[in-house]
Amino acid sequence: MGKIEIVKSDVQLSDLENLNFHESTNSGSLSEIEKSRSNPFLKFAFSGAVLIGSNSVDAASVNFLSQSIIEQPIDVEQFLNNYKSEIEQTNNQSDLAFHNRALTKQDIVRTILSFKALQDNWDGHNACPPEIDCASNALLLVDLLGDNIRNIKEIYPNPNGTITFEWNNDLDEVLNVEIGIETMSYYVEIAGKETVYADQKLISSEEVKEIIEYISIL
Amino acid sequence: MNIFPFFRKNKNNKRLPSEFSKSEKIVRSIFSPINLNKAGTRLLPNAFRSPPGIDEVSVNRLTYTNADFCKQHGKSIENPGAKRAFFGLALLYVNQILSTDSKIEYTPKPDNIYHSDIKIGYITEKGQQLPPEFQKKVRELAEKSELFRDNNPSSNSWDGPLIE
Repeated sequence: MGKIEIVKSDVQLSDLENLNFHESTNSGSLSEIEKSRSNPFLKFAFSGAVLIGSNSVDAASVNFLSQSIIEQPIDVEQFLNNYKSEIEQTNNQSDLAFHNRALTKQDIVRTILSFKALQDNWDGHNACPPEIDCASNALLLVDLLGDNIRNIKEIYPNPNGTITFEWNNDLDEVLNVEIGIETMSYYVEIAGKETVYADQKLISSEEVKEIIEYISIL
Repeated sequence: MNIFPFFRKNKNNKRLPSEFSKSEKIVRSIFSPINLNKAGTRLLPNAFRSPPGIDEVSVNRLTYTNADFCKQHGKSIENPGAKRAFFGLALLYVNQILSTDSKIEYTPKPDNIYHSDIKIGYITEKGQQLPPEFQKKVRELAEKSELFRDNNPSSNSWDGPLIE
């Protein structure tokens, strides 16, 4: 799995106001902890220095109940100020306007992590929560898509434990990508063209290049 | 020999016709936020997906009952603390279901004689994605359905527009 980094520059201040903040410090060596666990969520979180969690997805709900991790409160005001200055330095005004309409990379990562909080029967009809491998594959896709992730319209869990990414536009054209525990499948509907179906594709940079081409059309 | 049980009418054995007319109204309970897009305005296709191991999307035959019953059924399986608050009902006519090359089967339950299942023709396993042709089919079901919002989800009676 490719290393995934939280892109701080995509955050909006309004997104941060109601969040809980935790600074995680580990008392043992990072490699020892990673070795003792194979949870992709954990590996993902260690790639950043600070974990940002919503009320529904905090450190505890993402399996961070490790003896090696101590949660300490941090100065929220200072944190927000730091973020504000980073955003001002790294984004121009047109980027900020765009992000008011679109999901940011951080929104998407947060959404995927939030699926971990879903319980058995989350839809009332015996749905199972997303598999950890599906979630890690979804994070890998986010990483491989890079900036193209900005145009995503929806991301949601399915009752059989998979995760769907959806791009669409006002012409009812759509790209629908469903992520499983091993591979992904997708279809593309573009006006005037035959629907394209792709089944059981590896989540690799080669395959994602094709998806990026479809995203650029949408 | 006691022959009276043979003549006794048992309410629980009441059944509806197993055949569906094309104009019959079928509804599915919709929950917030799990079945809605991020704006809360559009139905997500996951509202018409089966759990792993079966090909059954539970619905009710509204034509033979009323919106109050369908709402109460929805509320009986809601769990607002787990992102599953009753939001409203999604309406599909039988001919719309059939137009997606899906089927509908009457599957009454002991406590719900209106219960039926939409079948898309494919069973997924846990963590295995649907083949893309079936992803499209599920999306069509969601797009063809009409979402009716209940204005007072906490009450037991339907408080929304006429479902038709």
